[in-house]
Amino acid sequence: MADLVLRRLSKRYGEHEVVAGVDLTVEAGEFISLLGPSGCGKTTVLRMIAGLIEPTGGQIAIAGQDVTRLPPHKRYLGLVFQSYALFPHLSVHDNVAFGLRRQGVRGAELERRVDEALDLVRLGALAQRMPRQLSGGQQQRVALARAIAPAPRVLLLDEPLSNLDAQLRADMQIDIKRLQRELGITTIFVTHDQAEALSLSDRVCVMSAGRVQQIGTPEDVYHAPANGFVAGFLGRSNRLRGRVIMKSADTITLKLPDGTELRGLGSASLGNDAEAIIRHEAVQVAPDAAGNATVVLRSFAGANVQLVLRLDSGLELIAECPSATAEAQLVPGMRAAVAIASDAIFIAP
Amino acid sequence: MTRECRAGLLLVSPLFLVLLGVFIAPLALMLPTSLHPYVAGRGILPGWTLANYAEILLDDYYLEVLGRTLMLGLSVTVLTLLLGYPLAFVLTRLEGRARTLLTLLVVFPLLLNLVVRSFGWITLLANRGLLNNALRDLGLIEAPIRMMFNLTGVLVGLTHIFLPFMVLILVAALDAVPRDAEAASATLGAGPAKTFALVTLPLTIPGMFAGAVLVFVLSISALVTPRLLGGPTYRVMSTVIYDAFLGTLEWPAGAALAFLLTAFALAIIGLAGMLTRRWTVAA
Repeated sequence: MADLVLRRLSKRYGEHEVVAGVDLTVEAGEFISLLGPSGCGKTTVLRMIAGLIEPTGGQIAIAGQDVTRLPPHKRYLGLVFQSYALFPHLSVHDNVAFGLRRQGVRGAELERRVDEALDLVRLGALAQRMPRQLSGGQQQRVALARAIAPAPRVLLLDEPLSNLDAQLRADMQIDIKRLQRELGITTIFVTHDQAEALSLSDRVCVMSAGRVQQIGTPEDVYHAPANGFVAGFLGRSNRLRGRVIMKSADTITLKLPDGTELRGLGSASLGNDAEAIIRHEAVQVAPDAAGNATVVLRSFAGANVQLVLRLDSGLELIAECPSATAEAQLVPGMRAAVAIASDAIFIAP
Repeated sequence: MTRECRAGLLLVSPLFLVLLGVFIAPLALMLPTSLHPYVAGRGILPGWTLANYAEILLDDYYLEVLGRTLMLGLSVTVLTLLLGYPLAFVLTRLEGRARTLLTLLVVFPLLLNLVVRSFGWITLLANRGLLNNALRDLGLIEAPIRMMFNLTGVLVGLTHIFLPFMVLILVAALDAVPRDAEAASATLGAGPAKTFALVTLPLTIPGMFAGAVLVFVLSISALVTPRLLGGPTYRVMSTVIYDAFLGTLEWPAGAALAFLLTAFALAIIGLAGMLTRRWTVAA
């Protein structure tokens, strides 16, 4: 059953259209990410769902009920902010109890549900602390407990991890995922971090310039990007400009300035300039003294090794390979054979 | 001594030297003065006595003026708080040009001379002032309502004059309330009134306290407005002290009055601070 439906949702500030007709259907219990660069309108969409920003057009429905004009306090949603936004004058316990008290929950029932929410984020022992006595990670856990305690219809997360350091962020990712699975709560997660979006979500909604570029499973948006923006935004890519010289039903041939011809998937008009987008890991490298390229740079990044390769034609490509492989042992000056599978080349205007 | 500590001392020392010269030194000179006996016709005599203080504390007239001054200070504080809070609240919800304009309007009275502002109220509040004339012309009253040379006049004048200070401090306090905290309250099911009562108001208590202390201190030490709107009959501590120093030249009595006023004011502020802290912690 669809739990949350956005229809042609839009927001305009004067001449500036921040969100331009977003359609999105979220199933009950689904974890969906709004992913995009800053300024793409993803936070505006989230705040419109929460009722904190009034849309200029379109409709928001939660569990079949049109809530477009409903004030935020009547929507029964949980929202976790990037800034945590805890009430600094209330203890952890009272922060978590805030939403429950507004619903009229009192006495033993209140205590039970506050304890339950705090146990879910493993902060049961800190109930009497004040927010300023907690670390950033603990504060964000309290914010999460506060949002889920009143059993909201939808959980909205607005870049909740971006103020945390890398290790904490990884831990919190797992916590959020576990929590969402245990509670089965419909969740919308706003982020600009593609790794976060891909690893947490059932589906990812990639946004750019106020529009939805693609909605699909993490595998779909990563391996079958709908357009050049999605292909370029996800993963790390080589971008090569050239001219389209041939176009068939499913492949496009691009001729680069150095004469190299690349055949790939995508969309572009014959005779026009276009860009080939090739993920770093799609560049296949093999040590070969009679190969077509020379290693220029090697940089070790733990699990992976990045190689900058100069082809004999003059073209430079970046390749990424697992650090245990033979090609990862290549050092600058060595020769290698470089190849790219045509299904790993995406061509976009 | 750490580097930060030395740097801190260096930074506060200019202000400290100024205060030493113009505030602490006169205070140190006034304290002995208040402890010398004074005899009319012969002036300040050598020797030490507490008679100046005793005289004030045992005199109904002085006690009445003292009580009146403190009550006036409290009334002005409460009034500016009640009038200023909604204004500051609206101001912080405005943006851009509208906010600049309203801020200017709030500050504008401060650009006018204090005497002019007080005199403006005289033309409004006097027995033959604008207000009384208008009411009489409308047939609403027979005899003029006395609004000057009493509590009403001084209260109106001081509230008007100190309102900008209160508003500016409250604006700073309201600006410091994180908007996300208010938004969080709304998403958790609190309507605008509940959000105000449970989040905004408690978070601005320190600001309200700061504004209240400032207005209270300014009110009980104000001289020009009580002089003009209170006249010779409605007297407060500052006018009595002024007369003691410059009228009758009874410096010891004037100094004693000033120190007593300061002591009572400090006691009230300390008590208010304690209550505020307890309230904030309990909330």
